Amino acid sequence: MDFNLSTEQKMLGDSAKRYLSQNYSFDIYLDQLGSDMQINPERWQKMLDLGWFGLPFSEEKGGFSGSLFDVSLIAQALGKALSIDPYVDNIVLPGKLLEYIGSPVANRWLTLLIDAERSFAAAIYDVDAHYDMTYTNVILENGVVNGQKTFVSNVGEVDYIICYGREKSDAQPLIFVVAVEDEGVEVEDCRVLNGSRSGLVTFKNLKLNNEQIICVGDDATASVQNAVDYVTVLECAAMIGAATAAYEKTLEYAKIRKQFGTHIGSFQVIQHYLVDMFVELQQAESMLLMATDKGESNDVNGREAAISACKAYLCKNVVGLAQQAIQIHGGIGVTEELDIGHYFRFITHLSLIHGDRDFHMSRYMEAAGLEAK
Amino acid sequence: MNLEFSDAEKEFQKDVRLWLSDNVPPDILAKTKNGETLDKTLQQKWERILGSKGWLATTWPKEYGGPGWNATQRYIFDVERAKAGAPGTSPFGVSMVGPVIFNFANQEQKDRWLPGIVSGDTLWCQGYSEPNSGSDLASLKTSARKEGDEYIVNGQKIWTTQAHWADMIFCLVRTDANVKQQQGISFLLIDMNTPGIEVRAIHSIDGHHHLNEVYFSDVRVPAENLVGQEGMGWTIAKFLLTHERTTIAGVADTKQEIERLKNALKSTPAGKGVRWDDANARRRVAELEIDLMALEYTNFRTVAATDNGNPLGSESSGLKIKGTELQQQVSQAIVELGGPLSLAWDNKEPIGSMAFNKSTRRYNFLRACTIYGGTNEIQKNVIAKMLLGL
Repeated sequence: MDFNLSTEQKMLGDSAKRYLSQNYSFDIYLDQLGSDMQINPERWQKMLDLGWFGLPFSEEKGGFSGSLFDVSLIAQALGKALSIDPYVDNIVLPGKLLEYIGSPVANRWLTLLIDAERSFAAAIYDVDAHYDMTYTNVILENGVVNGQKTFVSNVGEVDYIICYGREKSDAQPLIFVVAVEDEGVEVEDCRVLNGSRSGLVTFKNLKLNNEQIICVGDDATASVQNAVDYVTVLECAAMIGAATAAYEKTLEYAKIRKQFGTHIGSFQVIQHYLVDMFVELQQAESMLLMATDKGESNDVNGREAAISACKAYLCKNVVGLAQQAIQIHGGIGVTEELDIGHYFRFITHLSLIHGDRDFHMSRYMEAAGLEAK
Repeated sequence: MNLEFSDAEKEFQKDVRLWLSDNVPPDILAKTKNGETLDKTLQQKWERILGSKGWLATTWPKEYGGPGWNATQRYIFDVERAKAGAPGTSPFGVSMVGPVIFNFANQEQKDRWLPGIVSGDTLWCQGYSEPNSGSDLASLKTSARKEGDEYIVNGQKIWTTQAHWADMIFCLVRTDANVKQQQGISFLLIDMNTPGIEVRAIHSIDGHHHLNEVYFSDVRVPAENLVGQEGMGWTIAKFLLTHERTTIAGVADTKQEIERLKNALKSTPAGKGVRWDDANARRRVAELEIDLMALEYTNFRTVAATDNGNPLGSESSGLKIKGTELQQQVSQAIVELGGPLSLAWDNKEPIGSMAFNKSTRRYNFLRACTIYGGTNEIQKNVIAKMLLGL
């Protein structure tokens, strides 16, 4: 076994860190929070120039054939910087969905995405679906779609929605692409926990032509599931990045904050809390390494078990770590003015999208053979 | 990044598995399948079997009779060993005093002591803790006064696991009371049959006798039994504390304990079905499996780092803490999921399930694992100081 990063991976991680330290900050994050725009054209262009848009996709599709681990380095760096630039939500998720569909028309859309000529959001969950992406009442009947999708990332700022629905006649799943501007598409967005925006999309008698339906049948379901699995690993990476920052900042704070005439890091109880965080972070990192290793495996059960185990573990332990970061900071930790509380929200946000702890525990149990006989 | 075993390692795994399937004696398997502890006869029987194969002192280099395995091979062996129902080996000889001897002792001492450890013939115990020197080990008082070519040892050791089995004890003793605490300590090897040594049993809450008090009254020890120089004891003790950490987490045995729990749940009748039908029980197993995975991959990182010549990376520092916590959680789960069946204590025939019947023994025993080898609180103090700079 070898856990060392290759030279290219080290360079990738370093350049992501460098880009973020030069182009992102807590103040920029706060501005983003106060704005309706999440996609900043200048930073979007820089990420494109760094090759991030093509990295997750294969060379024959116009990408750079980066591994899941490679892409996780970017997600981790974004998380560490508290960046809510929606690279994972609006590049990787819709892009992987198109890549997994793999048809010529999907490939054409993917090229537009990689080249940043068009922007996309994926519409996966019905409001009453909980995390079951296969449950949907977005229905195509007689060439017309009706229904509603929720938590569509930054839908107010993108050109196209890639949506998972089904046909009325035989309940076949399908994926279609529709322009946000089209008649029959209504969008209403709100701010979500991490500070970005997410929308409710309502289709009212939306007319679809056959060219817009890019995948039908089991392939549609498999493509959505694979894409969501892929980004789930990246969300885990972002959680670890954020948790690393929260831990480092808390350790730093314990060394300078004085009470009773001495820095609070000299108190044994605080020392033990910090050691717990440090050890937990190591364990969480190990889970991420495992998930990035198995996350692209063809063994479906093994892959699902690994990803769900990782997400479930992080939902418990990394969320716990972020709570502890606030506790050690004391009062200042619960204010909007310090970044610690925002890291907590960022981590909590990630713990709730594409499956929370209970969802992933159940999915792990199914994939790992822990179901009743 | 490559998280797979190599082809050669997979081949090694097959060889180990094959050998184990033929060589673990049935009387030992009958005990381990229910998580029961072994008596001296069975424990030594297994260690001698390993000794004759050359697989007892797994961390030792070939020149001292070890197999010359790297950390990955040792890890593979450990997992296969636990899976095959074979017990772990007593650490005092092969993992503790052995490495001290081949790192610090002279040739004569090596020739004299190492062969008995490698073969499993000589059993050792560890004389560190004293009644008033537990976590604060450097305050120990057992004295060794030089008189001609002998040391006269007086004092008391406590929590001495397997002292009642052992042929030899390695001790930290105070040879100089007039220097800084740590500098007055020496490392002495003492024959347990020497006059003046008295071993008194301490019965622990698992109902077994593992622990002892060892009293020394004017025990005469040949000066040639001193390892290194006088005053080097603390350095040697620290060397042992920072020794390789690839098995400290207990991944192999915890893995096997979770398997035992699953088997017990699946085979224990409950109502119209079996205990496994209980969704709460299966969820609990899932939680343990996931926690084990985190520990296992952290351990993999340590194994890989060790084979790259960096055995003490920061990823290894929490292994003892997390590993022992998980051992306790798994044993607690076995007890609690057995419910009333876990109340049985000394039955000879199964009541519902022997695995559950015997579970409280191990559960009680394992309360000690977050205490021995430096309490987890002491581990945290060390990490806070050394790695966090607090």
